[in-house]
Amino acid sequence: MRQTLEEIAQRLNLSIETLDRWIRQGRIPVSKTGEMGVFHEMELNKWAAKQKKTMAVCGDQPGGVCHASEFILVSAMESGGVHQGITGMDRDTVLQAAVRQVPGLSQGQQYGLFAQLLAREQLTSTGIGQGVAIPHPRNPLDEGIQIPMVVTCYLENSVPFNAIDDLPVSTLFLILSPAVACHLNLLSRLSFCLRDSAFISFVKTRPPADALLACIREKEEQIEKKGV
Amino acid sequence: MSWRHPARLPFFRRDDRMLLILMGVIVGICSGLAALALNTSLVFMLETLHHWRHHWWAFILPAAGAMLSSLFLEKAMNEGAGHGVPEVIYSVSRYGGLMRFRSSISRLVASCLTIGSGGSAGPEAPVVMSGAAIGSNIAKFFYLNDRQRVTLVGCGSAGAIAAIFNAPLTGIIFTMEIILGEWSMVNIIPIAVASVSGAEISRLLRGNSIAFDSLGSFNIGNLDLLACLGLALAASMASLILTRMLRRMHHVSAKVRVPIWARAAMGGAAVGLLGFAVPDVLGEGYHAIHAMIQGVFTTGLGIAAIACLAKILATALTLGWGGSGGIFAPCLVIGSFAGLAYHRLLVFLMPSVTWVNEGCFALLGMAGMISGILQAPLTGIFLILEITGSYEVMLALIIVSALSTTITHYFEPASFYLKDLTERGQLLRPGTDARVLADITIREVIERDCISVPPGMLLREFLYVVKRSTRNYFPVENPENGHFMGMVRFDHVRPYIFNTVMYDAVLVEQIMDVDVETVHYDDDLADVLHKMDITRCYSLPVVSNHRFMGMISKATLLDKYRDELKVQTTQRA
Repeated sequence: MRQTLEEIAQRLNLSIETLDRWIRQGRIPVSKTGEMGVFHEMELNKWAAKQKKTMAVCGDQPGGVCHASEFILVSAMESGGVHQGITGMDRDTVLQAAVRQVPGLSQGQQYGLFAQLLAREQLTSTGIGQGVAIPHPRNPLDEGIQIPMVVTCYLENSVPFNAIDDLPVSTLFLILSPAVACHLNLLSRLSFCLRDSAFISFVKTRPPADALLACIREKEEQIEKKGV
Repeated sequence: MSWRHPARLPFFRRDDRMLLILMGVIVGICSGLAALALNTSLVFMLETLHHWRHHWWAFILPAAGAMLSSLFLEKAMNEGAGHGVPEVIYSVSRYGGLMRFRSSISRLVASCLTIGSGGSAGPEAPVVMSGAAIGSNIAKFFYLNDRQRVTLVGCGSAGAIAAIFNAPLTGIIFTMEIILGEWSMVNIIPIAVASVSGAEISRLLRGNSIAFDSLGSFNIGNLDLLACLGLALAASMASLILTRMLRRMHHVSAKVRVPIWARAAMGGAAVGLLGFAVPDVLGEGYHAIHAMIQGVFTTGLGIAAIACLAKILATALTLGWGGSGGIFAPCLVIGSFAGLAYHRLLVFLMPSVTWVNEGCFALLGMAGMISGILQAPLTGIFLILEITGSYEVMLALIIVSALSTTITHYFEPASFYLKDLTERGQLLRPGTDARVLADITIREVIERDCISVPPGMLLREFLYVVKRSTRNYFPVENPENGHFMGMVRFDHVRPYIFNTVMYDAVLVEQIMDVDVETVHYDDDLADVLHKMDITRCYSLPVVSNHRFMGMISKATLLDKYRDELKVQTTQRA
């Protein structure tokens, strides 16, 4: 079998200099013809197993769910949807109503999510002030959530949420993500937006989905540029 | 030109053992021929010069020989004097056995001049070097890789030793124990084959004769075995004296401010003068060994002891002052003189006891001497066994060899061949720390994922860079010419990064370390690690041509180090 030296080096997780030297020293069953490395597939695999080298045969990188994080917040909000007129008299009923808005959840999953959200609220309130709360489960859900979602809910009437500034909450951003890394990324971007008081007052006007998303996209562009 | 690329044939590509065996035969024959060539020309020179030996000016002969050999090596071949074995060992460990083609004849000619004219040296080390160079160049001709080349270098030296002593086992053992320093199956088989072909060539052309036949067998009694302890002591004393004397002579001759060839001539003349008093010190001295082994050497205790010391002195004068040749043959002569003297002493002290024949003690003395000087007990045992054909002395042989090696080791921890290499830190046996570090280059372990920052950057902006980075080190580069100015270490800025007031007040140049230790692409990893230990850093920047190239860190190094160690130590079967 023939491959370029770069390909072989990558596949064996070696630097190209090391590979080149090993070939020269005859320590690896690969021989060089010009810039190409010639080897016998089985021999090389056997050799790699002997060296206990973790040899990626086709070069799959594990755990890369959240790496393409460009505009992750916008896409999460898009998939979560923006929902007007969520009704409820207190924290629990609004949360229950909000959970019903999450797309693609079965009855049982909705119930489980609600229980998790309540458990999280008992720990400390997710009301982060100025009438905004970001309820989320403590741990990623086992099933039901394949892609990160932020479900935006404008409440019909403000409800007490035990928020840090004791103001009643009128907007919920329900954050659901398949992995912790993803969750942190969403949270950090959302909090960047919420730090801006102009954005808060914009949200208070209950803008429709496309206007809100456009605003978020603008914010995320700033983030990408600055690398915040 | 595919016949010059045999390693690319599909059959050999997967498994090169057969190829190495075939090459081993060729190399063994060639190096065997080289060894025989030296041997024959030595005999020729001895016979030619024999007529002039009795003249009063005969002491000029060794002087002229040593001078010519030194001139030849220095002017014609551009190589240093010496026997060449350390060079072979170094080339094997550092350059994959790469040797110059001219090395395959340079030592042969030089040592022929030195020894043939009467200098006290041996032809074995030169033929080893020559055989090794032949193996190396055959490997180069066929485009073999380093590992295969090293095997062929071993084949060359084994073939040479096997041919010159008609001792195939010694060829294998010597190569494994001294030249390669590792016992691996992949090497032993081609080397054994080469050894056989070298010995066979020698038998075809010279006849199958044992070099120093003892004529009759030795019956070693219990008392003789006990006496071996003393003999081991005597042999190790002799090898200590020889080692020290050789080094002393090197130092003394280095202080004499004359050209190398003149120095060699002075040493040669001194040997010639010594030869008037004790003729046995001249040349390789195999005559004397013959006589002693066969028990027909008639001198008394005093003369034997003096001859032993005189031979040591003559060898030191020849080799220490710039003559060319090996230590093997003189060791054998000195060892047999020491054995003989010891025997005479025993007889003198305890005349009523019947000791074994004096030849046996001479033989054991040789083994003790070789084992002591070379720190290679197996080579000593097998060499003596094969060149004397006396299996019945085996027990005594092992005792003397082992004891002598141990005793000498107390005073001279490194063997004669390895001493210089060890002192220069160039002894790089396979699978050792030094070898692993020597093989890995900085280019292989450098990490290039560092983000450079300009010195005028604000702390606020710097923190954005920190966020993006995966490393704790940030090189600072001059924005105008890209020169490396210093490093910012994240753990040094940690106290400030939570203080928002400082974000716009502090510049990168205020928090960077200016006097950081840097390393260069061509530095040895051993030195780099030493630097890390001194400065207690886990990472050092690599700077080349004033530019930052990347970081070297201990963590990555461990990863590469393990890979390298595994690759070097696992056998390819």
